[in-house]
Amino acid sequence: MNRDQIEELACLDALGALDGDDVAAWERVRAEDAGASRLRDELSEVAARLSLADAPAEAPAALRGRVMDRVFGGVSGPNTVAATRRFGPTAWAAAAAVVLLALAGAAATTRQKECVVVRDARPNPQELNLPLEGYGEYAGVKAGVLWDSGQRGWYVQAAGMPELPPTHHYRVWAVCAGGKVHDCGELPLRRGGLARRFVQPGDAIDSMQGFAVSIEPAGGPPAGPTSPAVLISAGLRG
Amino acid sequence: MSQTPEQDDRAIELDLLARVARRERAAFEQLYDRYKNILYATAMKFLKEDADAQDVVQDVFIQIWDKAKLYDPAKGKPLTWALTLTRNRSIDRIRAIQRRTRLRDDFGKETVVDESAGMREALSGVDAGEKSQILREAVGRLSPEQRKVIELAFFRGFTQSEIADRLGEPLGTVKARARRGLMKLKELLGPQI
Repeated sequence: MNRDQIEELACLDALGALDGDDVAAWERVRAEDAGASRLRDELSEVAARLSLADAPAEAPAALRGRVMDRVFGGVSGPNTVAATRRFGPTAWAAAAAVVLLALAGAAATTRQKECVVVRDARPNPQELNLPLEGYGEYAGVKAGVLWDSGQRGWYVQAAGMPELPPTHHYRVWAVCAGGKVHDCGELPLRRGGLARRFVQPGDAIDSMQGFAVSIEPAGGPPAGPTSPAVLISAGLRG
Repeated sequence: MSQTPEQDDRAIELDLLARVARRERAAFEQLYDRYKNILYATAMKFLKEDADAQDVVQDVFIQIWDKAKLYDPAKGKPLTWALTLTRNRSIDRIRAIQRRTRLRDDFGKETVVDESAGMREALSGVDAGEKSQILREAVGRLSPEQRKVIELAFFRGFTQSEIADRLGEPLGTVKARARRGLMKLKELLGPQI
């Protein structure tokens, strides 16, 4: 193999584009030629920085808290400030009449890393999209949960979600047998009332019944839901 | 002999990563503050959507916490490792999104909005801006064909054969463009990285 061919394989490997017979050929070259491996590492340094050619972006401040919570399991105490200003009493009464997720003591305070573990508990394994039903002002929201077998996770998503005041956000909960709920994180609201969150599955929960979305005070993750669900899996309707 | 700023950065990051491997929370928090914007910008470059980018960055930091002890300094700088993790996670996410396209159609056409536009500020002062400028200039010196191949491979996750199919070009041509393009970038950026 000549120098050009070695460079070619090194470049393609650094770009993550090698396939076919070239994968094995490249492995053989690297095993015999330390220089080829060094070249590949240098090219990887170049490739890794390609994404920095764009104008820099600033990570949202709230991301820090979520990362630390996921890694260290820090969970702040429940914030009981109700999000009532932007939602009429009628809507809240309607929502409250349906399902109350806030089960005393049920909220998990274990590491979220262990909590965000929703096993593939679909009633019908062929069903990829489970609908979420809305209540009150959320009756017209189109929402559902998609199972992604490739990533082994769920996409909780909704269209037509009302905006919230800055003091509050939407939060996803996995609801398990016995009414236990597990915090699956914030459901970020984007323009046009669209919202989506990926929930990474795990293996600590074997009785997941569905999902719910509630409105929670901004800040650290709550220990449990502090308000009625505005969206909830159809099968969980009380 | 004094060290260059790049060498200082690397020494600091190696130390932080070693401490993260020993499960030191303070070191992890410092590493987070050091890398958060770079990794978020990288994920945004791939995914274009704030929520997806945040999920990816979160996953990457969890991976860093879990895998720091497996990091091998001989294989590259700590930042390169973190960027590679981000790239791989982002590509995984893109592929998953592509698989779900049909199902997502039920939710109507989502307008892809670059929500980061308003947030884009200097990464960490002039230095980051200058680096971006250097990178942009270097990428601008590639031929459009070379840029296309690199874009499809690195940012879209296509393999060489997939790129050849997509562009309707011989595989050999694709490989040659990848080599010329990336080697040129290496030559242009060598001193900076």
